[in-house]
Amino acid sequence: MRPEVLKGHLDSVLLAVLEPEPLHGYAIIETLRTRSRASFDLPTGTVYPALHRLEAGGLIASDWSTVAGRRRRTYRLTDAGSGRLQEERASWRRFSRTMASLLAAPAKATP
Amino acid sequence: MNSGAASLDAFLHAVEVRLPGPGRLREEILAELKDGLNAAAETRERAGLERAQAIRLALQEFGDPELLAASFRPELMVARGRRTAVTLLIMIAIVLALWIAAARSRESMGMTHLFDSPADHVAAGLLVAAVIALGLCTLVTTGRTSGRPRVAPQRSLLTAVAMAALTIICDLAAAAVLTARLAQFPGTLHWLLLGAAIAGSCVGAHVALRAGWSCLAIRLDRSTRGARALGSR
Repeated sequence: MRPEVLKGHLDSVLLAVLEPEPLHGYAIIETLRTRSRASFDLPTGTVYPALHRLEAGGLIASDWSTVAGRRRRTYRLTDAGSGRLQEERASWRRFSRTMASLLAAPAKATP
Repeated sequence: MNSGAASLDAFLHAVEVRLPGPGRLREEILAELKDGLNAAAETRERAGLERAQAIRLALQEFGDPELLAASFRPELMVARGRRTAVTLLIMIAIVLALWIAAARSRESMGMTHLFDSPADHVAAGLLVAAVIALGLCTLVTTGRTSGRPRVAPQRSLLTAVAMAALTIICDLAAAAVLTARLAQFPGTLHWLLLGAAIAGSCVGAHVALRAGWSCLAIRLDRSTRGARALGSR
């Protein structure tokens, strides 16, 4: 699946990936790949700037630590991010139901 | 240093030279990318690959360094615009305090005002007000809400450049007026305060020139090399 398909939904997807536990940048990319069963293989240049934007907006926060001698930035969901994720979920369910009914194959008329 | 580590360092250097903007933000981006590249290589090593091959595949995954650097450019532009506005607002406050101190010292000595003409007051007031307004405008427009910038990053840079240009005009005009007064009435002025005001104006103009130029350089880079990088996607 092409990355453009995610356009407009990347923020929600990143928030959802961070919901269970804090993760560092590459772990987020790997989790996205695993949870989408390799359907979403986003370029690195898309994920890191999006994480920074979400942090600037207060939806996620980050902490620096040292792992194996190198600096690591780990992201976690904030309360505002958690609230936004719930809103996005509800909105997606409505949209998904509407699209499903619109795109459903018409029932064949019985003779 | 083995070839894998050398190629990793070369990749990070290629990104670094294409990252404009404040040093601390740039360092954080590079540290994060370095950790990400190592984590990507370690994932492949755990799958049984040699270190060198694991790094080669990790670098492939991270793609073209120029495109990667270009993806960070918007946030760096916003940070540069914001930093310029803060620097110049602090600078104009200091220089303004020095101008007022110099003018008041003259008044207290029973002489005429340093800036004699009311037109001088109006012109100076309008210029300073315009600088402060542009600075506040840059700060407000580079503030973020709901995870998204409020304005295009390029626009915030242009506001900062306009602010720097006006600051330079203010500082140079004030320095010229003060120096002329010093030459006109050499024995009657509080030369220490006046000298400090002139020096402050010159330093202010220099800081504004450097800050404005760095914003303009990023903006020009965005429309040439950055645009080529983005256009080749």
